[in-house]
Amino acid sequence: MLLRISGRLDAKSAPQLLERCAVVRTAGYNLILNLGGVTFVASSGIGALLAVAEQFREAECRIRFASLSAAVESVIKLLNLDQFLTIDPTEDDSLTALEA
Amino acid sequence: MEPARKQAPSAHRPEEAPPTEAGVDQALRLVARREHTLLSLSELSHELTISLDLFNLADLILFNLMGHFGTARSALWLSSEASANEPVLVRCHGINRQVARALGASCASRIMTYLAQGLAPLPASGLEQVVGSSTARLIQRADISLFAAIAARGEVLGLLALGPRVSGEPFGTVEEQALQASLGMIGVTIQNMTFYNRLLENNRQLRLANQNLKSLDQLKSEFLSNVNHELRTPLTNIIAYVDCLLDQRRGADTSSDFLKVVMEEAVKLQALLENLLSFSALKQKKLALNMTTGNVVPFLAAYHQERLPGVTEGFRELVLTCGADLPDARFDERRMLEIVDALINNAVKFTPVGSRVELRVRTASEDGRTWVAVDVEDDGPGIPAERLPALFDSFHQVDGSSTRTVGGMGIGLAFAKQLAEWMGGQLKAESQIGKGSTFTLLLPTA
Repeated sequence: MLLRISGRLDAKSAPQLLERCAVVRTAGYNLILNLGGVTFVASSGIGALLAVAEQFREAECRIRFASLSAAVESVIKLLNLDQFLTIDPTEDDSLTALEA
Repeated sequence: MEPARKQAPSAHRPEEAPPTEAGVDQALRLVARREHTLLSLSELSHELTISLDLFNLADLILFNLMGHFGTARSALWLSSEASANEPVLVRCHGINRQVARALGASCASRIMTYLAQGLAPLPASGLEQVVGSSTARLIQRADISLFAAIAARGEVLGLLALGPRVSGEPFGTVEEQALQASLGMIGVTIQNMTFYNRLLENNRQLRLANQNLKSLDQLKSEFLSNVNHELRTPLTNIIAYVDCLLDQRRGADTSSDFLKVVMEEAVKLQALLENLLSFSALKQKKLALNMTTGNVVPFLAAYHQERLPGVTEGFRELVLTCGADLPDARFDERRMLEIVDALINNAVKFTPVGSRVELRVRTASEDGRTWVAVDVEDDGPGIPAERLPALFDSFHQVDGSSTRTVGGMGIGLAFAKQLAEWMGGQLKAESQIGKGSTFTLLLPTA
């Protein structure tokens, strides 16, 4: 399953993101989260991404983050989250990795 | 003599090593981290004003802290009046819910008491002496890195747990200071929100009580007016005929007829006085339906907004979910909301603190017909299967007592079922032990 996120990822949109991801996880699908369209990410947004990643890990489903926008990438690098979140340069790379 | 020439100050400075590229990177990174901390605090102060729903607010708080410190695990417990010794798990992310609930039951209160002494965040690893070894193992299993008290104005309101930072870095002094700043804002917000929600709920109850008093007052006026008229007629007749009997000019042969009339009117008076004792029955006859056709969602959304503070104040979550493309329903707005209110009251009464109550509107197909279904679903302990068929009957007995009031102030399940049927609808209940109960109001479609 592929979800493309765009706009601001903050306190208002974070619960919506979790809700959408929960539907995918509950159905037992793996998920590619394309963050290429995210123009701003707040701490709440980062917290939501970490929560989603942990939920997929617990459910033994796989989640990959693709095409990070500059806004997302800078915060992820700053907090050294790239060791925890599985990040790919493009959607295709994520797809290939999930199919492997 | 030539005055000594002042040398340039820089000449006296020891030679400073030029900054290395790595040093510059480190400094820039430090600045970026500080900026991230400031932005996180600023976002938190804004986010705390977004919602008056405790559970929604808890999500925002935990997401902010997780993103601020880069941890994938967090949990929030709060003390409630209903369970002072066992803080209620409000939300957790990345920590198994059952484990977090067990921690709330086994040690959250003790940790809160311990933290109340200093109010500084405490590493989870140093708590074994406070909580005992078995609970310490539970904390380890939940992979909690530190605990912190949520406090305001000297009162400890709850407990926050954060997992380790996913980068592997420890919580340093700067992070602890930032966390304490966040906790200060969170504590005051939660306390203010609790007070505010309590105030709104008290206002709601006062308004309902006032409405009830007004309708009782109106009923009383109508009742007295009717009684006045009904009592007057036989009394007038009795007085008139007794007056005739006393009149010496009339013959004795008519006196027995007159006495018969006096007797009849006296019996009528007696019946009227007996009716006075059936006041509640009289009230029920006053119920009239004001049926309308339309979308139930705006009424339920307004009800949800009004009811939310009171339910939240009792540390239960109240969520409204509306299905798409709902058909119009036939209903009496006031009576429908009375039924929903009775169901919500029931859910709140029979579920423990921390429970989730969902008010859901959807389209349903049943008995070959399309209905608008209004579900009230809870995740409480559930109702034993053998009690379900008699659920409405058993409440009917309670409902039949002289203490029941009609409208607004809690009408009981039996009366809710009666109202649903008067509107051409149905009221049903399903339940599973350990999973919760769902009460469904089926409203006929237009």
